[in-house]
Amino acid sequence: MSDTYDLQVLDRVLAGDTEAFAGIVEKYQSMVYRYAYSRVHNYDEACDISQEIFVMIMESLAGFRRESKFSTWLYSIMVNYLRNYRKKAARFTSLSLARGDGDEEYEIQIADERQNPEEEVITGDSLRIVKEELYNLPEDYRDILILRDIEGMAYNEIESVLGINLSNVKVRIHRGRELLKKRLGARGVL
Amino acid sequence: MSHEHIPFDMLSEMHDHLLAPGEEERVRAHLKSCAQCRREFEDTGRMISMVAALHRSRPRDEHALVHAAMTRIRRKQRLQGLRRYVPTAAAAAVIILALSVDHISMKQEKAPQEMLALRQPRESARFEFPRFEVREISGRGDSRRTLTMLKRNNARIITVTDSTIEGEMPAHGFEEIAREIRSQKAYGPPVASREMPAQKPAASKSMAGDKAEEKKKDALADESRAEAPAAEAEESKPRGTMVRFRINLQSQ
Repeated sequence: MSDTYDLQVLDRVLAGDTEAFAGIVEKYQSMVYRYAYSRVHNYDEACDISQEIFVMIMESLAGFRRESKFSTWLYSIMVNYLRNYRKKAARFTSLSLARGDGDEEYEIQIADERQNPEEEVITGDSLRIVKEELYNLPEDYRDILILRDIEGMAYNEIESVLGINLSNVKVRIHRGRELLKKRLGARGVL
Repeated sequence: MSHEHIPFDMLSEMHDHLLAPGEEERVRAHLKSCAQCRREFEDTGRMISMVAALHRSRPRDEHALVHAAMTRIRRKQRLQGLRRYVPTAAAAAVIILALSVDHISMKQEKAPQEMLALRQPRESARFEFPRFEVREISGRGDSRRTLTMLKRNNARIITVTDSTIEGEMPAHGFEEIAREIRSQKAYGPPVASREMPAQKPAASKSMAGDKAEEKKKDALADESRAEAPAAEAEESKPRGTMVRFRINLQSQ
């Protein structure tokens, strides 16, 4: 589903077909959920935030000027929402995932096909440590690594979404990776 | 570059294919000869792969999240739709209220008498204190018989002495008793009713003989004539009128 699909759905929604927006929700829900979860570390809260973000996106659709990709615009709204959410709630804590209530185990669904013989096997344990260390990174590094390495966004897209210049994007990505690598090495994952 | 290790940012950029072609070639050449940088590069690549694997993290029930999000959107749209009508509805409510108040005030102006009638208590519900007349009569008679007569006519006896009976009773029954007592005046002086507390002087006993008898008869006839309009007046009195009486009895 390309950006063309997004624009088609957008046109239908703006023409009054609200139900067509379900296609957008379906396409981006996992990404929005992951980003939300990385902030709140709570399954239900992440789902709730995801829904609110989609409501906000729906309400802001008319303001999308089509100067960027729809996904970039959607990510920007998501990032801003969570920035404000954090300020508002003031209840985000750097919870260690190891001390979580266990619900995070459910929301990681590792596909077996990824673990082919050519690649080094990524076990559930090492993945949990990676997740834990990633989410415990300083916010600037964590957010940018989520967008770059999990969501696969291009540098210039990240530039637009986070509203920082390209050199800053590069610096944050490299420093974030370096710090994460160091921490994962200390945990024996690398 | 072959003597120095490759900085981490270049290794990181190489994974993202951001190095210029010539630069990338030089780095690759260095990696072939430097085990430490090669390990660093491979570790970085493995870490990026592991982070990318988190892409598979998703909500447990994706359909439920879509449904919940769409439900919220529909609800919000309904609310927004309602909000559009709120100013209109509020204005309409104010107008209706104003018209209602105006209508009520007009009704009150048109029918003030009706409203007053509603506010006042009904005639039957009003309590009126009975009006009392004070009467004193004198005559000769038996006190027991007189008392029986009074009680038969619903009189309330207050005091009884040898020569007087005091009490109160409805005015319409009193006149008959008064006539009965006066009819015994043939044995005593003429009596006249008057208001209390002035005590009527005792009837003169100085008269004697036939002349006196004739005068008495004349006086009785005059009194009877005088009583007739009094009885009529008594009958015309409202039923609520009471008499507070004092009867002076002289033994026969």
